[in-house]
Parts: sequence; C-alpha cells; structure tokens
Amino acid sequence: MSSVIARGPGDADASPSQSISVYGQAFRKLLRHKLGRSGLAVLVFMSLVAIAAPLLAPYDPTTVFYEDFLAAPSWRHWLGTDDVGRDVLSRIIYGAQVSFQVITVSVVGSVIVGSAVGMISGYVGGRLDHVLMRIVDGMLAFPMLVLALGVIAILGPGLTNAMIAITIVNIPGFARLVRGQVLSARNLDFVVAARALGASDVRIMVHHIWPKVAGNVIVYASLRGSAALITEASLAFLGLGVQPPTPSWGGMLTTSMQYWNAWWMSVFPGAAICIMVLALNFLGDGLRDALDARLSE
Amino acid sequence: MRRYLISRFIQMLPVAVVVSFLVFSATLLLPGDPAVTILGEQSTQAQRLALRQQMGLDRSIPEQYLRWLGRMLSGDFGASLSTQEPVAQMIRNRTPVTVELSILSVIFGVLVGIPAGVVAAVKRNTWIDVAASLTAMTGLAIPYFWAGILLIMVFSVHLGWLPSSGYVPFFVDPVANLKAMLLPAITLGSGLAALIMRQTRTSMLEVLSADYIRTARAKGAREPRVVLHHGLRNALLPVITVIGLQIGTLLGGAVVTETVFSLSGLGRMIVEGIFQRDFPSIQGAILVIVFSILVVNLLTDLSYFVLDKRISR
Repeated sequence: MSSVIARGPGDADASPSQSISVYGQAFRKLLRHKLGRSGLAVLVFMSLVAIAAPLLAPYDPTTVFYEDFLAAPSWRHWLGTDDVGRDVLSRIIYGAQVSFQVITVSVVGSVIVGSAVGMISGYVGGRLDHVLMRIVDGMLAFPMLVLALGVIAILGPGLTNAMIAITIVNIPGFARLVRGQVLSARNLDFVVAARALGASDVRIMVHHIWPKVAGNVIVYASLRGSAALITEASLAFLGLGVQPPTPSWGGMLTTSMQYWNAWWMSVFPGAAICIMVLALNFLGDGLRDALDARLSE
Repeated sequence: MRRYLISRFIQMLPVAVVVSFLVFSATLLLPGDPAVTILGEQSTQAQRLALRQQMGLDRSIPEQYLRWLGRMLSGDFGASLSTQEPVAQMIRNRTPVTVELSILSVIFGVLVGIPAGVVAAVKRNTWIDVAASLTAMTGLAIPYFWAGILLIMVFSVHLGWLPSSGYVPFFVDPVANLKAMLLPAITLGSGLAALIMRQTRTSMLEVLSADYIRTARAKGAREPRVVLHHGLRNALLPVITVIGLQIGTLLGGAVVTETVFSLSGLGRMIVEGIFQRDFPSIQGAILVIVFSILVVNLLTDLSYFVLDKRISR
C-alpha cells in the first residue's frame, strides 16, 4: 500500500478544482484499465440488480412453491428451487441486497473509524500513538474471521452484529495505513504553513492532511470490500450472520449441504459470491493502478 | 543468532499482552451482567453468584486480568460451561485436527503453487502463463466453504472416491486419516496455492533476469539446472514470507473448512462455543489460535535468518 501515492487537494500547490481533475483523471484511467473497467461494470450491474430486486426477481424470495420442492432449473424456475420450494434466482437477487449492504456499511464504517484513529495517532504522536498502535497490532494478530467470531460471540448472531463485527475487524488496517501516511505528511511544507497561519489541529487534519491520504484509503477500501464480502458470507454460512428467512448467499450454501444432489442450490449462490469477489478485486487493482502516480508516470 | 531471537521475542511481547487482554476483555464487554448473559435468564441466583466468583467478576479489572492471565499461563483455561469438561482437555483433543489440516494444506499449497509459479515464469506470456494466472485469480476469489462444497459434490457424492466427513487419528489408521483429510486440505490449501503461485512467478521473473543467471547460461549450464538450482533456490525466500503471513488466514479458514467437513478442530470449537454461549471454550480456542500465529510469525522471521546469509551476517 505504501507504494500508492495519490496527488490530492492537500498538495500545497493544488486548488480544489485541480484536485477534482486529479480524481477525474484517475477515473478515466480506471475506465482504460481492462480489469478495473470490467470489475466496475460487473459491480454496477449487480448493484442495479440488487436495487431493482422487486422488479427483476421473478418471485418473492420467501414465497414457497409447495409443488416445486428441490426442483431442478427449468423455465418456471431458471435456477431451480430450494428445500422448501423457494425460487433460487429470486433469493440470489435479494441476497445481493444483503451483500451490498454489508460491504457498504462495514467498509464505510471502518474507513471512518480507522482513518480517525490513524489520523489522531499519527498526528498527535507520543504515548497516545504508542498505545493506539499496540492495540492495532494486537487486533491485526487475529485472523479476520476469528476476530469477527469473537465480536459475534459478545454481541450475538444477526445481520447488524455481523456488520459491526466486520467493521471492527477492518478498523486496524485502515488505522495503520492512515497513520503511516500522516507521519510522512505532518511535516510537509503546506502543513507547517497552515500551522504557522494558526489553523487548528482538527482543521489541519481534515482539510490539509486527509485529502493527501484519501487516495490510498480509497484503494485500500476497494480491496477490503472483497474480504468484507467473504467474511459476511462465512458468518452467514456458519449461521452467525443474516438469519433465515432473509436470503443471503452464505446462508443458502449452508442449506445446500443437506441436499447434495440438488447441485443448483450450491453452485449458483457460490458463483454469485465468487463473481462479486472477483469484480471487487479487479476494481481494487484498477483503482490502485489509476491512483498510483508513479505507475501513471 | 541468539541476540536476534531475543530481540524478536521482546518485540513480540507487547503484541502478546494486547492479544491476551483483548481475549480476556470479551467477558467484560458482554452487555448487561455477564453471568446472566452466559448462563441465561433461567439461571438461579446461586448459579450466577458461583459463576461471578469463578470468573472473578467481583474484583477490579486489572486484578481480574492478572488472575486470568496467570491461570492461562499455567494451562488452566477453566471448564466448559456446557459440558463441564476442562477447556485445556478440549484444546488438547482438538488441536491435532487443526494442526494436521493446516500442515496438509500448506503441503498442498507448496506442491501445487511452486511448480505452477515456476512454469508460469519460464513460459512467460504464453497460454500456460495466462491459464495459470487466471486459475490463481479464481482460486483467490473462491470462498473456502464453496470450494469444500464443490469438492464434496464431485469427489464424495458423485464419484464416491473420498469421504465427505469424519476424522480418524493418523496413528490409528494413516490411510483412512489421509483419505479423510485430503479434501479439507485441498479446500484450505487452494487459496494458498494461488498466492504461492503468484509469488513464485513474480520472484522467478525477477531472479531469472539477474546477471548471475545469464552467467550460468553463458557457462553452458543446462536450462533445468539454471531454473531450479540457480533460479528457484534464490526465489524461495519471498515465497516463505507469503506462507508465514498466510498462516493466520489458514487458521481463520480452518473455522469454515472444519464446519464443512464436520472436523472437530479448534475452529469448530469456537463456532460451537458461540452457539452454546460457552465463553471459556471460545476464549481458550481463540487464544491458542492467535498465539500459534505469533509463534509461526517468529519462526518465519527466524527462517530468514537461517536461509538468507545477508541477514545472519
């Protein structure tokens, strides 16, 4: 991550309009990046499908078709039905809503909290920095899923608690990243100048340093999206995330393990997870290349 | 060597203290009265009082932590709240499953990832390289549990070659043990194989463009010797780093892999503990997993010391 250098509005010689053009250029570079472009396209498509789920899904995800238990894919049920006769395609479409909700809430939450911790730690320094970074190191020693399970053990299973758990496990990564960037930015000329002009610490952190580190945070956030999705699916698979009858891709896979011959119950939800993870990874790679000034030069 | 070992160990200590405090603080963070949360609303006052005393909840937090840490260090992890079995005993029974699963998945990752990475580097920009890279990319995107489910569907349900669940200790029946552990090891090792492949390819490309490789070729060394003896040996150090760093991910993945294949390992112990609100067993299993990761990280650092003469000098 340290190799990513974003030129943002925090640069001493960058005006707000210039910074917008920097991000505009990065977006255009992303669109020229084959993998990044395809990842973005898939994610836009999947998010539109999730938003328009009530219009696109052939059936309600909880509607039970008593005559169609474990029905194989057919014209009536394109991806078949599950053990209680619910349409698999409809459940996958509605399950996308849950996945996007978890990714968005947990990544945005961890960006806000992790960046704040990293910013304060790096800017204030001293004993506070030492204490905060030891806590961060301790949290980073836990495997992501194990730490999430620890949080779920305290809070209890459920969608909201799963989102809180995934947010918490992602905080240390953002804190470490932002702290490192702040350490190198806090003594730059424009920060010293702002301090000399009497700007408050909060103003310096928010208006001068944050724009400087935002590019790296965006890239890291896009890469953490896929990890957040896999963690959410894993928690749902273990029965500790989204609770039935709300459809979730991980939860659908748990049920599929009782019906091995109904291959459609496991293949399609798993493929949905896999496609979304790949799309998030491609987008992350594309963003990294687009925002990496050194690569672009 | 000894000085390096001591300095790395001292660096590890603060992290170990923070980790132990985080695990300890799980019970402090329980909403409401931990005794009621753990035992449930139906528990009697006497049961709650006994649990509070057992957990030392009537003392100050630093005192509770130090007493708890002292017990952990002496191997007393308490008793399971659901079965009353000593947690240390549960950990002893379940650790071999998780350790074997992790070792076999690392072996699978190395056996598949390194040759694939070498071939991809040697055959750079050919269809073999593209196929290997695409396979690695897909391997990294497949969640463990889905990989496990697909393997069971193919090799257990349809072909009937391997069992889908059950564990036989290695020393009881080695063949049955390996048959039972093959699919879980492939499941857990597939992501690692993909990472090792990518790292080996990158390292090999870097090494193969070095001057001493050109010199070896100029002196008439055969290509397999150049690639394997001069190239691979020097490209392996970053690969070892990847393996060391991935142990945490592997042990995290073991949680779901053990659930898919019904293996009674440490990961499954945590999940079962959550459903039964059995905090001593959750804490014990998490503590063992995280400390194992710290030790493996230490060993990985030491392996650089042994393998890279520049560090040991």
